[in-house]
Amino acid sequence: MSLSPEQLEENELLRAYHERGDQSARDKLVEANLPLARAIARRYAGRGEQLDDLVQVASIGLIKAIDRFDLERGVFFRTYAVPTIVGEIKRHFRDRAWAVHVPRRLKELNQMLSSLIQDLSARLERSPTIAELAEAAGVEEEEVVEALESSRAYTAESLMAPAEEGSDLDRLQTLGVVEEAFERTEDRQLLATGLRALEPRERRIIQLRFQDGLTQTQIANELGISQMHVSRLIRRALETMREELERGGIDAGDR
Amino acid sequence: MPDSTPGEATERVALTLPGERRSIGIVRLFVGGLAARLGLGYETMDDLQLALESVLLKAELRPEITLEATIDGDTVFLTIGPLVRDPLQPETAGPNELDLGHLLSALVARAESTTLDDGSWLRLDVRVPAGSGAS
Repeated sequence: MSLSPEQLEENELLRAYHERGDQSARDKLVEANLPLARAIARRYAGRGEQLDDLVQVASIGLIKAIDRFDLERGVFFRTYAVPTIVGEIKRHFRDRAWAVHVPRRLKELNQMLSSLIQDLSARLERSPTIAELAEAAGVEEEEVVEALESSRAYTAESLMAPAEEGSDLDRLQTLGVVEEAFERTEDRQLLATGLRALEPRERRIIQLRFQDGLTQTQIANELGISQMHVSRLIRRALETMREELERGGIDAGDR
Repeated sequence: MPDSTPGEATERVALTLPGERRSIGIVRLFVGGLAARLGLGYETMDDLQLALESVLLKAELRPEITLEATIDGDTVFLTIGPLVRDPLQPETAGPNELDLGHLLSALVARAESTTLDDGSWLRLDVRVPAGSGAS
């Protein structure tokens, strides 16, 4: 197998991380491969999921690929990473399949509330109340509560629908297949803690919220994103950590 | 858990629901309604929802649980239980892991557990800002 200088460097970083536990090598691998994760995420945009959310999911897949890659298998890292990332996105779509249909008016109200929360937080210098949001949006308070709750439900279009007009393949079939050889390397490594499963930005947010004690608004200001987005990222990060820890517990129990 | 004394000045709302993860949506709506009633800020509401979600996801629940909100002046006391065991006992976790107690300490003003005959009950205290809808 002839390797390019980039692949040789990548292998060195993988060796440094897996053999010597070099966390900076892991961070470099994440950073170097994020464009790959983003490119894969873009392929699945427009199917009822926000691109930003898909990039998050793809990044988790990338980190799993880095953590589980086996240098001894003699395959290129990207050959392993692509199906792992695609598999993570596929699992994400499957996990959301239970989602209820959210009426258009609630989706629109939710989008309006997202910007109103930002505007009112800046103007009032505190988080707005439900009554203030309702007044600004011109709706009843109950509708505000309902619309905010609807943001937790994901719209999942049928994965059995044709991928493209006239295509014989359904969406599930186009989401990629994880090769058997890669499946065998799954769950091989027990992560020391769920924190390691997080993408650097998520880890930073968790640290700011639960270690440094910053509020969502303060984190939103520091990172230049909306408060609602911070809220979503915190939940996603906690979910990822919980999943990783549960997976680790199962692995440990199997040994 | 806590019994209310007839005629006391506090206001109380209680909800009994299945002790399952799928109850999370109902709990979020309950907190949303409470936030609207009390004039809690969006962020306080979201933190409280996350606190209760974390309890439902991390604690070991009895088949039927009760969530109760008691409004007393500038504080809302939320109790949830019964739970199979005290969820605030330190877990066998690594130093970087976020256990429930650590999470709750960042999300509510105070979290406290009590063990009674039917199991453990968790009380979460939330401060209501002055000038809000609570009276």
